[in-house]
Amino acid sequence: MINKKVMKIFRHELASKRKSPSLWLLFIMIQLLLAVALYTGWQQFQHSVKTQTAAQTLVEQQWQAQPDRHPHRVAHFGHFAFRPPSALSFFDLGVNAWVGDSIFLEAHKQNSANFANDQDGGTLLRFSELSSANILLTIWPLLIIGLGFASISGEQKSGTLRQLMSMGVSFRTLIVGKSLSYLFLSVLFILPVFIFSLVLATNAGAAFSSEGVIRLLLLFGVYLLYCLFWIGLTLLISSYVKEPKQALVLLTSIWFILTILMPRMLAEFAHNQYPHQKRNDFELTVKLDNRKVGNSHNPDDPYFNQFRADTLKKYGVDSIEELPINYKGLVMQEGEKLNAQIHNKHYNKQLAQFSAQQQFIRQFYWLNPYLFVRDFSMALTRTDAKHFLDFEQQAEAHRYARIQKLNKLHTHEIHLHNDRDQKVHKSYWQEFKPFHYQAPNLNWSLNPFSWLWLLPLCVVVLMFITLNSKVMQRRIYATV
Amino acid sequence: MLLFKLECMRLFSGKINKLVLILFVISGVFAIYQGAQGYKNIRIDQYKSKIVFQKEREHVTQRESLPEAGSLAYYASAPTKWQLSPWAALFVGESQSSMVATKIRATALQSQIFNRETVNPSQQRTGGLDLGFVLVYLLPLVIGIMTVTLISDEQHAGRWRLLNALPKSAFSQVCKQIALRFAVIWLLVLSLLVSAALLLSLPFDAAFWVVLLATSVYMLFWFSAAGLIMSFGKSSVVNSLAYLSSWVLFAMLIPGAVHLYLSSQFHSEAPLKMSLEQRMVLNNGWDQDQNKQAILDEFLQHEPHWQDTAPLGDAFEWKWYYAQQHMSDLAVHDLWLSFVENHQARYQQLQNLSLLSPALFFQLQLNQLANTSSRDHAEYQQQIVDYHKEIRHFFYDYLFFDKSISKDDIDNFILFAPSDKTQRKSDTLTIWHFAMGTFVIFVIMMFAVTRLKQLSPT
Repeated sequence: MINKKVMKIFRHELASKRKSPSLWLLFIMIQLLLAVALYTGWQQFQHSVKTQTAAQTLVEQQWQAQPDRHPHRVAHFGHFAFRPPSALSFFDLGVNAWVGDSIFLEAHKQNSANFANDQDGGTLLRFSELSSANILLTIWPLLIIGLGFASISGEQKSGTLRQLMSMGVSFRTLIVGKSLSYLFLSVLFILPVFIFSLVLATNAGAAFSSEGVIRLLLLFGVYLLYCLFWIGLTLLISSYVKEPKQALVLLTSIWFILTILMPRMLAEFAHNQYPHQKRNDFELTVKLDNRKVGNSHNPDDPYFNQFRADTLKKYGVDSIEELPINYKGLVMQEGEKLNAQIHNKHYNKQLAQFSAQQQFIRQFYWLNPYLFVRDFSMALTRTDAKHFLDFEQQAEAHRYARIQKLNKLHTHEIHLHNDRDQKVHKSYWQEFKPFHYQAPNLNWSLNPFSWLWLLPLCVVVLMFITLNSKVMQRRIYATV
Repeated sequence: MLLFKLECMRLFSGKINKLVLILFVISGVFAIYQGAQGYKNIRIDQYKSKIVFQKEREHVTQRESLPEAGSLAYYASAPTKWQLSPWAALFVGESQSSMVATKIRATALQSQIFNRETVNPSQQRTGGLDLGFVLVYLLPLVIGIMTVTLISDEQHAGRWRLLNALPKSAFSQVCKQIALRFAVIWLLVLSLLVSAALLLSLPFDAAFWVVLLATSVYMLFWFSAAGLIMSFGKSSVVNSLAYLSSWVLFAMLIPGAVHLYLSSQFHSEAPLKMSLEQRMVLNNGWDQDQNKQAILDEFLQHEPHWQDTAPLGDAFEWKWYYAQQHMSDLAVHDLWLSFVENHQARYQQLQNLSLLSPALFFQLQLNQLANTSSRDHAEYQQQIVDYHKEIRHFFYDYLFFDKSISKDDIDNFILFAPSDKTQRKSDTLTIWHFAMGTFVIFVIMMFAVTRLKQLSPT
């Protein structure tokens, strides 16, 4: 398939692009932009790692330095969970600007992550941040369009296509040659950013593992596929539309629809179709449900009366004073359990709505590979909503375990009589494990894409098959 | 008249022109519809918070015996309201990602004020589609596609020489064509705005005319930019690429760069530090059994109105509880002030930098007009702070003077009243900027016009 003629076309195309000063200028400018984006991303990443680690260490120290205290006091003292940035987040910032980095973990209450970096987001982040990934996703396609919109239509218009054909260069050869040259340029263009990312990532310390290399390779692969999509589309439009100017306008319109208009419309539509609850609504539902089952702070609650009867029966005694353990601690445990169950029930409903929204958008991966590459890239760099929600869930699991451990101390180390005035020894605080966010592995990250990656791939393959098809050839030959 | 008809036909005969106009209208209508939905949800949220509070209040007053004031204050989460203009439906700004109805109670303020609205972060990352987006970012592209190749197309078709040979100059011909395009697009914008106003029952007051005027000036900028590009007499392809590049620069790169700059310059760790520190202060307070009176005394120095309160006994007392809650707020007060200052400085810088890009400037002005900018949000936060003080003081009488709380008192509980938007000093600054911007656009336009006039028929 790749013969001498193809190579000649390939070299000729490269040579002609090399002569264009404006292309050089754009090429260099966007490289600079990428460098700036990568650099600031890296700075932000390091700053974030530093802040989060320092804050986590601080709260762990604060926890351990506590004096003798009543366990329930400690439960209200609470703890913090901080979200360390993922190792490759300097490449793709994903949803990071929109989500908080820290969660306060306390008794009876599931807080959400706070302190996001989205000030003036409604004005400044209309196109998301200038991250390397975002530049590759939105701006690089424009350059591919600029490189190739006239490749067939231009040759056709200037009459060189006829000459080439008469010299025995088949249309197929032309297409393959030109595609190869644009692919070569794309690789040349995106390779530096990936090499630098790899260098930076190896300096990211503990956050980076051997899996990170695979993630970077996959990233490179998926962006290359994205380049191929735009190369294919550009050549396809350039072959169909005879006027280069028309081809350019059509291609930029398609670019605008695919990368800017459609993602927004789909996201808004999905939100309307599968609405999640606003914070106030969510808190109200949880509160009302909590009221229905019982209030652990209220000693005459019907649910807890039943619980008391069951407990007395289990231990074979007549009153809570006779219990070998502290009944109040048991009530705390039971209350926390109920509360967590109710919260999780509603939280899972929210999650289900989020994933329904995402599911809706996924249906369009085949039509709009931008969506696919954007989401795939965020999944690979662990910066998508799914990874953030995973942090929230890990923090909640940690909160629950920590509070229940305190409630067990309350049950076994504090006596019922004069409960409030007792304290447990401070050595107990050393027995609590610090919070460590477990970054999910590659398999988990890519789980939602099980076979969905096949669709955009098929689209790209199909485009090149169309370009090389007999029909296309006949069409071109007929018009030359 | 015949010529006019002909020009109209020429305008609407191009497939691309039609496609672009249709796309513009569809996006506009979609954005208005979505905006109306989002705004409705905000209003429901605010209304519901009010109703829920009323119900809870009724629930309390219907009980046979009222709980003691301290416990009442603990559970009384009163609603507040971010007073948005109805234009917030069209220019959403920060209103969709921030709390619009924060609930607030008499306990420590700083642990309540940073609550965040629940959002789907993926949706936020995508960027949202409101009418502001359509006007600020889509409109320039429509203008570009319809105008920037006018002359080069004539040249290409060989008509340019012909037109120049006519008694009426080719220049006036081009001017007419541009004016026609301006009129068509302007009418579309007008009809979008009017239908939005009707749908959302927006009054046709000053705000409406300001939006229309600002949009017209903004359109003028992009028409001038197109004129300037055309005046170089390059080919259609070069013109299109140049126009597209300037769009990418003004719409994407400058705002992106401004964001990077601002977040590196004004990164504030204050909220995190505040919540870490406040927690320690609160908890140390609980450990110091002997010190309780000292905390109360210190509190009374800050709130002298209640200094005649009785000294603390041995048992738990609510007044000590609220005193130390407030003291924990005071402990982080400096951090709070630095947070507020940091935000003000950041916003000031944003306003200055927005002059670099007409798109950014226009977007910022639209958000300010709809009360959805981050400055408006900061003002709402300040109102919450003030209201929190009112709530505290409401309960202090009962807590510190052992006054018993009655049902009437509960019915008279002060509700949050959003203050009217005050005339700001910076508003005159905005008008200044706007006038300056208009002047600059006018200069660019005149420059483009003179250059276009001189464009020789090659």
